[in-house]
Amino acid sequence: MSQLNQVCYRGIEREDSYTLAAYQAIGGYSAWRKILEEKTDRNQIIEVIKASGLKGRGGAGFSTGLKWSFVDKNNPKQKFLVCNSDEGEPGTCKDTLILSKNPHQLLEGMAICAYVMGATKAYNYMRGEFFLQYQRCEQALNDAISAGLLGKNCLGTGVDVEIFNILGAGSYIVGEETAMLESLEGKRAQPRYKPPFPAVSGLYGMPTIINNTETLASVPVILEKGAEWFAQLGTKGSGGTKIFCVSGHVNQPGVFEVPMGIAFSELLEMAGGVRKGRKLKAVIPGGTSMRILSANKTLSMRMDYEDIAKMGSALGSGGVIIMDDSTCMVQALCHMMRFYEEESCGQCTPCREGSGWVYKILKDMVSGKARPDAVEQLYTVAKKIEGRTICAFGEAISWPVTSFIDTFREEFDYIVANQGKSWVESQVAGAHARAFGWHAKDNRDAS
Amino acid sequence: MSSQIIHERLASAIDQWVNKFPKGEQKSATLMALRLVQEEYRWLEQPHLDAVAEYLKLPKIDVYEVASFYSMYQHQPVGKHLVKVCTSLSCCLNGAYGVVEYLEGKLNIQCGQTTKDGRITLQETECLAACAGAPAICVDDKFYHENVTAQTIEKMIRPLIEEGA
Repeated sequence: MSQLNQVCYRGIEREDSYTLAAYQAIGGYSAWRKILEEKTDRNQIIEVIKASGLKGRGGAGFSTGLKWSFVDKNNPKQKFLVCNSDEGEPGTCKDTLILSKNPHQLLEGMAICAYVMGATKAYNYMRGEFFLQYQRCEQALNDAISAGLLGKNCLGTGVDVEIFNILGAGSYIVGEETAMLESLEGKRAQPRYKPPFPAVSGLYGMPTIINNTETLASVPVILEKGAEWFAQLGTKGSGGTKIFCVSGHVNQPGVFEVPMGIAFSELLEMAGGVRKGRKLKAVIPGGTSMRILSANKTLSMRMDYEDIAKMGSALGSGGVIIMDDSTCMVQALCHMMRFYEEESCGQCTPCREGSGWVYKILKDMVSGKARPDAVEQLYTVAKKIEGRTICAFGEAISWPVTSFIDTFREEFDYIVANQGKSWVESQVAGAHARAFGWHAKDNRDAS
Repeated sequence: MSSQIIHERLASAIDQWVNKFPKGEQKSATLMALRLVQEEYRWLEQPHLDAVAEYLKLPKIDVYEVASFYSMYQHQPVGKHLVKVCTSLSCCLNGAYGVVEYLEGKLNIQCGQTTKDGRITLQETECLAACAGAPAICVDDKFYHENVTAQTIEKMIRPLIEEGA
């Protein structure tokens, strides 16, 4: 069995893991202290992060070290670091645990990144509902400031790193990095055109780096234990560990920080396997914005960037959603697309209008009112959104819709030809009640 | 006038957020100012928005834009407590619509409505980042209830109904 919780979830089994004392007892803030004492060369830290293979854990998977190197540290302008703790990708529930159980490690990672890029101010943007997580982060921040570790003149070295915890107000698209900057500026969270990239012109027009919570919380451990140690936990192109959130039709849904490249089958086993009495039908491996995979593609799949891409999807945010054989794919997609229709920021026409049409056609299919050519129409609308929007939200509509149809075409044709009757229902009596029903929690029995 | 709506206590709470941002960037505090005002008055009407604009010295349109964009702002009268059921995919796969139906029956209202006594408003919400605890409910935009069953919902609802006015 793969070893759990070696990086971001290090130490969280302790009841008081979120306290400064508990964090320091396991070596917390030692990387930060060393940097402050030795005035470590910034480029040296960037090289370590590059060598570790750490990539952005929020979904895009971009090399963290490379991202850090884009900010010109000699630029005299005020620079900003932003931590993306907006966690909103459906199927993803990993950062919430870092915020509530290991906030100091995140703060230490933020301090290190801020130091490297020469930012004296950093914002940790949490989604609006993370009120308790916010309180934990505030407590941690205050304790770290009192201990002289953060704030102005850290440990008397003249280094300033002021961190501020921020709360949102309900918006999925805030998770897009430039939308988050707009939101921090007190505006609608509408993604910006790129270029200019945030490293050049970000928050208030100043050089800015935006990293995901899991990415930043990985940094202190990498510096403590070395790039080599981290890289070797994972696979060649995917260094380190990844937190996977396994939800849906499994016996014991949960959040698992495991080495990259773990077999999908092992991860599924950790989550107690597919619900009692049912067979695996499909998997969304990286949050609902990613393409769906049929069960047979996942049999020998490894959970890293490369192998999931080879199967035709992406690791994304690590939100792994499991669906069993009672699930009607048309209904599942309809539920998903209600979300995207609701959350489109409305800025780009293909996404604003397209998300509405996609949801409408799917609702028509489910209620038996769809036109005979509805499947083609749905596919065409979704396909035409891809690549025609400012941000990746367009793909987040297009990829699921087209992959659901490509993989489960017969279910879409069947529901249109049979006035809303689901193909799965024709195969498994009572399928809808099983797939979307509310079952006793003690056994999650859906047989 | 803004001073009637944004009284001293509210003003000092808003100021704490203004101070998190660089000088002159008080616009950044709009989101939290609206939230604090909403926590005080339960839902936002135009005078509330105007008061925030006046207090932060912003054009009214800037505040209207924010208020109409983010989903946590309520623009219609709502109850003392908000009960939001997550209906994103992982929760759907674990019976979220069964949860909605159960609450509709229990509270004798439709989703989106408020109980006659004005205590509870029932709403659907998007992914709460509690997928491993599906089905999940968020109360008052702050308090999570995960793996909910009929029994735990009873326990969750009782204090909301019975607590002193």
